[in-house]
Amino acid sequence: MKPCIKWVIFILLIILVGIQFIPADINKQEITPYTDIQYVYEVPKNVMSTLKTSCYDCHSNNTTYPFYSKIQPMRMLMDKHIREGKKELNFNEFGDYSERSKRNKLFSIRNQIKDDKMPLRSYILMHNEAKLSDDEKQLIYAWIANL
Amino acid sequence: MKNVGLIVMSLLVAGGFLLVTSCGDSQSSNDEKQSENIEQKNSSQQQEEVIENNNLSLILSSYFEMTESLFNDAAIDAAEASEKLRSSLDHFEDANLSENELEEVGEILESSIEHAEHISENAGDIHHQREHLVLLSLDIKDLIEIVGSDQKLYEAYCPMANNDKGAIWVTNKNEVENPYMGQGMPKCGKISSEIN
Repeated sequence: MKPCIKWVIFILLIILVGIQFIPADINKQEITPYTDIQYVYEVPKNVMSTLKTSCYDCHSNNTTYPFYSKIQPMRMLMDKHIREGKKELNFNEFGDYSERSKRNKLFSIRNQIKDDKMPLRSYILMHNEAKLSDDEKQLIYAWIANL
Repeated sequence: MKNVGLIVMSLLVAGGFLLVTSCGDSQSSNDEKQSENIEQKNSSQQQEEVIENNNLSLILSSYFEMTESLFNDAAIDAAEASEKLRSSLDHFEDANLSENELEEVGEILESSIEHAEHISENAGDIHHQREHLVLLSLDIKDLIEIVGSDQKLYEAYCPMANNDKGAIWVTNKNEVENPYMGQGMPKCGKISSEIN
Protein backbone atom coordinates (compact mmCIF):
# COMPACT_ATOMS: atom_id res chain seq x y z
CA MET A 1 0.00 0.00 0.00
CA LYS A 2 1.24 3.47 -0.82
CA PRO A 3 2.35 5.31 2.34
CA CYS A 4 0.05 8.23 1.34
CA ILE A 5 -3.05 6.03 1.43
CA LYS A 6 -1.95 4.58 4.77
CA TRP A 7 -2.00 8.08 6.22
CA VAL A 8 -5.47 8.84 4.85
CA ILE A 9 -6.90 5.66 6.35
CA PHE A 10 -5.13 6.39 9.63
CA ILE A 11 -6.65 9.89 9.81
CA LEU A 12 -10.12 8.61 8.87
CA LEU A 13 -9.89 6.04 11.64
CA ILE A 14 -8.90 8.72 14.13
CA ILE A 15 -11.87 10.87 13.07
CA LEU A 16 -14.20 7.87 13.28
CA VAL A 17 -13.03 7.06 16.78
CA GLY A 18 -12.95 10.73 17.75
CA ILE A 19 -16.58 11.43 16.85
CA GLN A 20 -17.70 8.57 19.09
CA PHE A 21 -16.95 10.91 21.97
CA ILE A 22 -19.43 13.57 20.83
CA PRO A 23 -22.00 13.74 23.65
CA ALA A 24 -25.40 12.29 22.79
CA ASP A 25 -28.82 13.66 23.80
CA ILE A 26 -30.95 11.32 25.87
CA ASN A 27 -34.64 11.55 25.05
CA LYS A 28 -36.16 9.36 27.73
CA GLN A 29 -39.23 9.77 29.90
CA GLU A 30 -40.74 6.62 31.37
CA ILE A 31 -44.02 8.20 32.54
CA THR A 32 -46.65 9.41 30.07
CA PRO A 33 -47.48 12.97 31.17
CA TYR A 34 -51.09 14.10 31.62
CA THR A 35 -50.56 16.53 28.73
CA ASP A 36 -50.20 13.66 26.27
CA ILE A 37 -52.65 13.78 23.37
CA GLN A 38 -54.50 10.65 24.59
CA TYR A 39 -55.63 12.64 27.62
CA VAL A 40 -56.65 15.65 25.54
CA TYR A 41 -58.83 13.83 23.02
CA GLU A 42 -60.48 10.44 22.68
CA VAL A 43 -57.95 8.48 20.67
CA PRO A 44 -59.05 5.06 19.36
CA LYS A 45 -56.66 2.25 20.32
CA ASN A 46 -55.54 1.53 16.77
CA VAL A 47 -54.86 5.20 16.03
CA MET A 48 -52.86 5.54 19.26
CA SER A 49 -50.86 2.45 18.41
CA THR A 50 -50.08 3.86 14.94
CA LEU A 51 -49.02 7.20 16.38
CA LYS A 52 -46.72 5.48 18.86
CA THR A 53 -45.15 3.22 16.24
CA SER A 54 -44.76 5.78 13.46
CA CYS A 55 -44.43 9.11 15.21
CA TYR A 56 -43.49 9.02 18.87
CA ASP A 57 -39.76 8.35 18.47
CA CYS A 58 -39.21 11.88 17.16
CA HIS A 59 -42.37 13.62 18.36
CA SER A 60 -42.39 12.78 22.06
CA ASN A 61 -40.16 12.90 25.13
CA ASN A 62 -39.50 9.19 24.94
CA THR A 63 -37.44 7.65 22.14
CA THR A 64 -36.83 3.94 21.72
CA TYR A 65 -33.19 3.84 20.76
CA PRO A 66 -32.08 1.03 18.43
CA PHE A 67 -28.68 -0.67 18.78
CA TYR A 68 -26.99 1.46 16.14
CA SER A 69 -27.95 4.62 18.03
CA LYS A 70 -24.86 4.11 20.17
CA ILE A 71 -22.63 4.82 17.18
CA GLN A 72 -21.73 8.15 15.67
CA PRO A 73 -22.52 9.67 13.21
CA MET A 74 -25.90 7.84 13.37
CA ARG A 75 -26.59 9.21 16.85
CA MET A 76 -25.97 12.81 15.73
CA LEU A 77 -28.44 12.50 12.88
CA MET A 78 -30.97 10.86 15.16
CA ASP A 79 -30.59 13.57 17.81
CA LYS A 80 -31.13 16.21 15.13
CA HIS A 81 -34.33 14.52 13.94
CA ILE A 82 -35.61 14.24 17.51
CA ARG A 83 -34.72 17.83 18.37
CA GLU A 84 -36.40 19.23 15.26
CA GLY A 85 -39.32 16.84 15.52
CA LYS A 86 -40.14 17.82 19.09
CA LYS A 87 -39.86 21.49 18.23
CA GLU A 88 -42.47 21.11 15.49
CA LEU A 89 -44.79 18.76 17.37
CA ASN A 90 -44.63 16.97 20.71
CA PHE A 91 -47.51 14.55 21.38
CA ASN A 92 -46.54 14.36 25.06
CA GLU A 93 -47.05 18.11 25.46
CA PHE A 94 -50.18 18.46 23.34
CA GLY A 95 -52.26 19.57 26.30
CA ASP A 96 -50.01 22.59 26.77
CA TYR A 97 -50.68 23.95 23.30
CA SER A 98 -53.19 26.82 22.92
CA GLU A 99 -56.44 25.92 21.13
CA ARG A 100 -55.19 27.70 18.06
CA SER A 101 -51.91 25.80 18.20
CA LYS A 102 -53.72 22.46 18.60
CA ARG A 103 -55.70 23.31 15.48
CA ASN A 104 -52.44 24.06 13.65
CA LYS A 105 -50.79 20.81 14.72
CA LEU A 106 -53.74 18.60 13.75
CA PHE A 107 -53.90 20.34 10.38
CA SER A 108 -50.18 19.77 9.82
CA ILE A 109 -50.35 16.13 10.93
CA ARG A 110 -53.01 15.46 8.34
CA ASN A 111 -51.21 17.31 5.55
CA GLN A 112 -47.77 15.88 6.25
CA ILE A 113 -49.11 12.33 6.23
CA LYS A 114 -51.16 12.95 3.12
CA ASP A 115 -48.15 14.46 1.31
CA ASP A 116 -46.03 11.45 2.39
CA LYS A 117 -43.59 13.83 4.06
CA MET A 118 -44.06 12.07 7.38
CA PRO A 119 -42.85 9.69 8.69
CA LEU A 120 -39.43 10.62 7.25
CA ARG A 121 -38.26 8.34 4.49
CA SER A 122 -34.95 7.75 6.28
CA TYR A 123 -36.85 6.73 9.41
CA ILE A 124 -39.04 4.28 7.50
CA LEU A 125 -35.89 2.80 5.93
CA MET A 126 -34.66 1.79 9.38
CA HIS A 127 -38.12 1.13 10.84
CA ASN A 128 -40.21 -0.60 8.26
CA GLU A 129 -43.09 -1.10 10.69
CA ALA A 130 -43.45 2.70 10.88
CA LYS A 131 -44.55 3.00 7.28
CA LEU A 132 -48.19 4.12 7.17
CA SER A 133 -50.53 1.93 5.15
CA ASP A 134 -53.43 3.56 3.32
CA ASP A 135 -55.81 2.14 5.94
CA GLU A 136 -53.79 3.61 8.77
CA LYS A 137 -53.76 6.98 7.03
CA GLN A 138 -57.54 6.88 6.54
CA LEU A 139 -58.02 6.05 10.22
CA ILE A 140 -55.97 9.07 11.22
CA TYR A 141 -57.81 11.39 8.81
CA ALA A 142 -61.16 10.18 10.14
CA TRP A 143 -60.06 10.59 13.74
CA ILE A 144 -58.87 14.16 13.14
CA ALA A 145 -62.01 15.05 11.18
CA ASN A 146 -64.17 13.97 14.11
CA LEU A 147 -62.34 16.03 16.72
CA MET B 1 8.69 22.85 20.51
CA LYS B 2 9.16 26.52 21.39
CA ASN B 3 7.29 27.58 18.24
CA VAL B 4 4.36 25.25 18.98
CA GLY B 5 4.13 26.66 22.48
CA LEU B 6 4.04 30.23 21.14
CA ILE B 7 1.32 29.35 18.62
CA VAL B 8 -0.85 27.66 21.26
CA MET B 9 -0.40 30.62 23.63
CA SER B 10 -1.39 33.16 20.97
CA LEU B 11 -4.42 31.05 19.98
CA LEU B 12 -5.53 30.94 23.62
CA VAL B 13 -5.09 34.69 23.98
CA ALA B 14 -6.98 35.37 20.74
CA GLY B 15 -9.74 32.98 21.81
CA GLY B 16 -9.98 34.60 25.23
CA PHE B 17 -10.08 38.06 23.67
CA LEU B 18 -12.89 37.05 21.33
CA LEU B 19 -14.87 35.53 24.23
CA VAL B 20 -14.58 38.68 26.34
CA THR B 21 -15.46 41.08 23.52
CA SER B 22 -18.41 38.98 22.33
CA CYS B 23 -19.75 38.84 25.90
CA GLY B 24 -19.27 42.60 26.12
CA ASP B 25 -21.08 43.16 22.84
CA SER B 26 -24.20 41.23 23.88
CA GLN B 27 -24.28 43.18 27.15
CA SER B 28 -24.17 46.59 25.45
CA SER B 29 -26.66 45.57 22.75
CA ASN B 30 -29.02 44.44 25.55
CA ASP B 31 -28.74 47.90 27.13
CA GLU B 32 -29.32 49.50 23.74
CA LYS B 33 -32.41 47.33 23.20
CA GLN B 34 -33.78 48.27 26.62
CA SER B 35 -33.48 52.02 26.01
CA GLU B 36 -34.98 51.51 22.55
CA ASN B 37 -37.96 49.75 24.10
CA ILE B 38 -38.46 52.58 26.60
CA GLU B 39 -38.30 55.12 23.77
CA GLN B 40 -40.80 53.08 21.76
CA LYS B 41 -43.20 52.89 24.69
CA ASN B 42 -43.04 56.67 25.23
CA SER B 43 -43.69 57.52 21.58
CA SER B 44 -46.43 54.89 21.39
CA GLN B 45 -48.24 56.56 24.29
CA GLN B 46 -48.12 59.88 22.43
CA GLN B 47 -49.24 58.50 19.09
CA GLU B 48 -51.28 55.46 20.09
CA GLU B 49 -53.53 55.19 17.08
CA VAL B 50 -50.87 55.97 14.52
CA ILE B 51 -48.50 53.34 15.88
CA GLU B 52 -51.29 50.78 16.20
CA ASN B 53 -52.36 51.27 12.60
CA ASN B 54 -48.79 51.27 11.42
CA ASN B 55 -48.19 47.98 13.19
CA LEU B 56 -51.16 46.25 11.59
CA SER B 57 -50.54 48.02 8.29
CA LEU B 58 -47.04 46.57 8.17
CA ILE B 59 -48.39 43.11 8.86
CA LEU B 60 -51.08 43.49 6.22
CA SER B 61 -48.78 44.91 3.55
CA SER B 62 -46.32 42.03 3.87
CA TYR B 63 -49.21 39.54 3.97
CA PHE B 64 -50.60 41.04 0.73
CA GLU B 65 -47.14 40.95 -0.83
CA MET B 66 -46.95 37.28 0.06
CA THR B 67 -50.40 36.37 -1.30
CA GLU B 68 -49.65 38.28 -4.50
CA SER B 69 -46.44 36.26 -4.94
CA LEU B 70 -48.35 33.02 -4.44
CA PHE B 71 -50.94 34.24 -6.95
CA ASN B 72 -48.02 34.66 -9.38
CA ASP B 73 -46.65 31.21 -8.48
CA ALA B 74 -43.52 32.95 -7.24
CA ALA B 75 -42.53 30.79 -4.26
CA ILE B 76 -39.21 32.50 -3.63
CA ASP B 77 -40.82 35.95 -3.55
CA ALA B 78 -43.50 34.56 -1.25
CA ALA B 79 -40.79 33.23 1.08
CA GLU B 80 -39.10 36.65 1.20
CA ALA B 81 -42.37 38.48 1.82
CA SER B 82 -43.18 35.97 4.54
CA GLU B 83 -39.91 36.75 6.29
CA LYS B 84 -41.01 40.41 6.40
CA LEU B 85 -44.38 39.27 7.67
CA ARG B 86 -42.79 37.24 10.44
CA SER B 87 -40.74 40.24 11.47
CA SER B 88 -43.71 42.61 11.54
CA LEU B 89 -45.74 40.09 13.55
CA ASP B 90 -42.86 39.82 16.00
CA HIS B 91 -42.80 43.60 16.48
CA PHE B 92 -46.54 44.05 16.79
CA GLU B 93 -47.63 46.23 19.70
CA ASP B 94 -51.01 47.57 20.67
CA ALA B 95 -51.51 49.67 23.80
CA ASN B 96 -55.30 49.77 23.43
CA LEU B 97 -56.13 46.12 24.05
CA SER B 98 -57.95 44.75 27.08
CA GLU B 99 -56.41 41.88 29.01
CA ASN B 100 -58.56 39.27 27.27
CA GLU B 101 -57.82 40.77 23.88
CA LEU B 102 -54.10 40.80 24.65
CA GLU B 103 -54.17 37.12 25.47
CA GLU B 104 -56.05 36.26 22.29
CA VAL B 105 -53.80 38.48 20.18
CA GLY B 106 -50.77 36.84 21.78
CA GLU B 107 -52.02 33.43 20.67
CA ILE B 108 -52.83 34.74 17.18
CA LEU B 109 -49.34 36.19 16.82
CA GLU B 110 -47.67 33.01 18.06
CA SER B 111 -49.67 30.95 15.57
CA SER B 112 -49.22 33.27 12.59
CA ILE B 113 -45.48 33.58 13.22
CA GLU B 114 -45.24 29.79 13.00
CA HIS B 115 -47.08 29.80 9.67
CA ALA B 116 -45.00 32.69 8.35
CA GLU B 117 -41.84 30.79 9.28
CA HIS B 118 -42.98 27.69 7.44
CA ILE B 119 -43.74 29.75 4.36
CA SER B 120 -40.39 31.53 4.41
CA GLU B 121 -38.52 28.26 4.98
CA ASN B 122 -40.15 26.51 2.03
CA ALA B 123 -39.24 28.52 -1.02
CA GLY B 124 -38.89 25.25 -2.88
CA ASP B 125 -42.32 23.89 -2.01
CA ILE B 126 -45.19 26.17 -3.02
CA HIS B 127 -47.68 23.44 -2.11
CA HIS B 128 -46.50 23.53 1.50
CA GLN B 129 -46.56 27.33 1.50
CA ARG B 130 -50.18 27.27 0.34
CA GLU B 131 -51.08 24.75 3.05
CA HIS B 132 -49.90 27.20 5.69
CA LEU B 133 -51.66 30.12 4.00
CA VAL B 134 -54.97 28.42 4.87
CA LEU B 135 -54.52 28.81 8.62
CA LEU B 136 -52.43 31.98 8.42
CA SER B 137 -55.34 33.71 6.68
CA LEU B 138 -57.71 32.67 9.48
CA ASP B 139 -55.25 34.10 12.01
CA ILE B 140 -54.86 37.38 10.11
CA LYS B 141 -58.64 37.73 9.82
CA ASP B 142 -59.03 37.14 13.58
CA LEU B 143 -56.32 39.71 14.27
CA ILE B 144 -58.04 42.34 12.12
CA GLU B 145 -61.36 41.70 13.86
CA ILE B 146 -59.82 42.38 17.27
CA VAL B 147 -57.44 45.22 16.43
CA GLY B 148 -59.44 46.96 13.69
CA SER B 149 -58.11 48.63 10.56
CA ASP B 150 -58.60 51.80 8.53
CA GLN B 151 -58.22 49.96 5.23
CA LYS B 152 -61.20 48.44 3.43
CA LEU B 153 -60.65 44.70 3.67
CA TYR B 154 -62.40 41.73 2.12
CA GLU B 155 -62.55 38.04 2.73
CA ALA B 156 -62.21 35.92 -0.38
CA TYR B 157 -63.07 32.22 -0.61
CA CYS B 158 -61.80 29.41 -2.80
CA PRO B 159 -63.82 26.17 -2.62
CA MET B 160 -61.08 24.01 -4.16
CA ALA B 161 -58.24 25.01 -1.87
CA ASN B 162 -57.18 22.91 1.13
CA ASN B 163 -57.89 19.55 -0.49
CA ASP B 164 -61.32 20.70 -1.75
CA LYS B 165 -62.39 21.63 1.77
CA GLY B 166 -62.20 25.33 0.90
CA ALA B 167 -60.08 28.15 2.26
CA ILE B 168 -60.21 31.91 2.67
CA TRP B 169 -57.71 34.68 2.22
CA VAL B 170 -57.75 38.38 3.11
CA THR B 171 -57.47 41.02 0.40
CA ASN B 172 -57.70 44.79 0.06
CA LYS B 173 -58.92 44.54 -3.53
CA ASN B 174 -62.52 43.82 -4.42
CA GLU B 175 -61.45 41.22 -6.96
CA VAL B 176 -60.32 37.62 -6.95
CA GLU B 177 -56.60 36.93 -7.37
CA ASN B 178 -56.39 33.38 -6.09
CA PRO B 179 -53.14 32.67 -4.19
CA TYR B 180 -54.04 28.98 -3.73
CA MET B 181 -54.52 28.17 -7.41
CA GLY B 182 -52.10 30.73 -8.80
CA GLN B 183 -51.89 31.29 -12.54
CA GLY B 184 -53.46 27.90 -13.21
CA MET B 185 -56.86 29.17 -12.05
CA PRO B 186 -56.35 32.84 -11.16
CA LYS B 187 -60.01 33.84 -10.93
CA CYS B 188 -61.29 30.78 -9.05
CA GLY B 189 -63.34 31.78 -6.02
CA LYS B 190 -65.31 34.82 -4.94
CA ILE B 191 -65.26 37.76 -2.58
CA SER B 192 -67.41 36.30 0.18
CA SER B 193 -67.67 39.20 2.61
CA GLU B 194 -66.32 42.49 3.86
CA ILE B 195 -64.23 42.24 7.00
CA ASN B 196 -64.67 45.86 8.06
